[in-house]
Amino acid sequence: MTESTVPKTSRTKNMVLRLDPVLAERLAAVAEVEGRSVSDVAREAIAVLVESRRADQRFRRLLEDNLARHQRLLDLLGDDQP
Amino acid sequence: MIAIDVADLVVIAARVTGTAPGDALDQVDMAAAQAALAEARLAHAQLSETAADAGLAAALLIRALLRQRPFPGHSQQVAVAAALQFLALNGWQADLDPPATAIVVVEGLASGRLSPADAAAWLSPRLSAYSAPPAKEAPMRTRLPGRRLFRAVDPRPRAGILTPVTGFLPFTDDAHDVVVLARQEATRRGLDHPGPEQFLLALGGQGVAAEALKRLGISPDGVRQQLTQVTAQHQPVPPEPDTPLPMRVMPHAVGEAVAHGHDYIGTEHILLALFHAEDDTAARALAGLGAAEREVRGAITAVTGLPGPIRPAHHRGRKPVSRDGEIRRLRREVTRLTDLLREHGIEPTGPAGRRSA
Repeated sequence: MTESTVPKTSRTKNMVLRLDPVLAERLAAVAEVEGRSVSDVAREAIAVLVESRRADQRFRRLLEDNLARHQRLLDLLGDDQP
Repeated sequence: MIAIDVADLVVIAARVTGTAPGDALDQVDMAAAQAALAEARLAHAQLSETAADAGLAAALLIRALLRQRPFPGHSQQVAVAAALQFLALNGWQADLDPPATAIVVVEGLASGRLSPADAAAWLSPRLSAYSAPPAKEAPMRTRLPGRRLFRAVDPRPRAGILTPVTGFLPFTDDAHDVVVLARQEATRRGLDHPGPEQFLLALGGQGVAAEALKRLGISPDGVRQQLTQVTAQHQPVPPEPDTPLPMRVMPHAVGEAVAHGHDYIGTEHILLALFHAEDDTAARALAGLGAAEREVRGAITAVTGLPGPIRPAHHRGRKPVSRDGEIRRLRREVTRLTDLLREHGIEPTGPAGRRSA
């Protein structure tokens, strides 16, 4: 993995995670052992999941198929109201 | 039904908004995403897999994402794309032409002028079976490291447990049957949800847990009789407020699956979870039958032929084993400290103290 030159402060944000107690305990244990924050460990875990999903061929194929089929609708949908 | 999780949402949002997944991950309001998915999941749990229910589930997902807005600025696009992906993952495709009508429906859901049921009534007739993927392609989320009990041969949508950290952990066929049987047992007893007692009764059928219990000389009838005795002698631990009964078992089953390095939930994980549930009726019954946690773990190990918890991972692309090893060491340390406290006449409180008591 290559290090990004973007300052870390601009790449991260605070997260609020609702976890069941067992998982929260597990995360806290990992964070303590590795000397990192719980949110850092959680973010990494989610990032791993995101990468695995991106690597999921079927998931990607279905997504691309859906986006292509409904491109017109998605283009017409508006952004959120401020 | 296969549910959408946070990782799915991030990938979908990244694709829809044309940003890198890492940027989408930075932009997502994680609490809002979890709240939306939890809201949608609660609806999924009550639905069967028919076209009408899939339409309602998709409508509920859109509404939840529009209300919680985990990706501010792109809520409608992400919500619709997520719902379409949800439908596709569950074997459905939607014909939403003309787009103008679909936009009216989405905006109606966003404003609250249209209920999810009304949106589903519009959507459901527009659903049809998704074209099957080519056979050579791997089925969805084949991430099981060891025992591919069902994925490679059974492309049906799987039930399972979804957590933001572990992602989707599917039930094995046997575990799915156990959950169904436990629900039926709970219904027979007039309960809204199954608890440890109902799960234990349901575990006697087939699967690793049933084999382990059989190996320990424990029959379904023996379990039932012992449970009757235990419940007559002990008042079950009162539940914490607002905690659904299944939540007192399944998080522990997830914990056991993760601790073993498994990407699925099997009957053995549910059986071991009974020893950690706050309501210890099932654990007491097993102990009364001569099967304390240690004996049950040993029997499971004997049945599966695998080492106990935290077995070395031979599967690809996963890192949690080293963390699991650290967790195991931490647990040993907790046990050591607990024993130390007891040596000094201090009775520990909390789960560690209860488990080792």
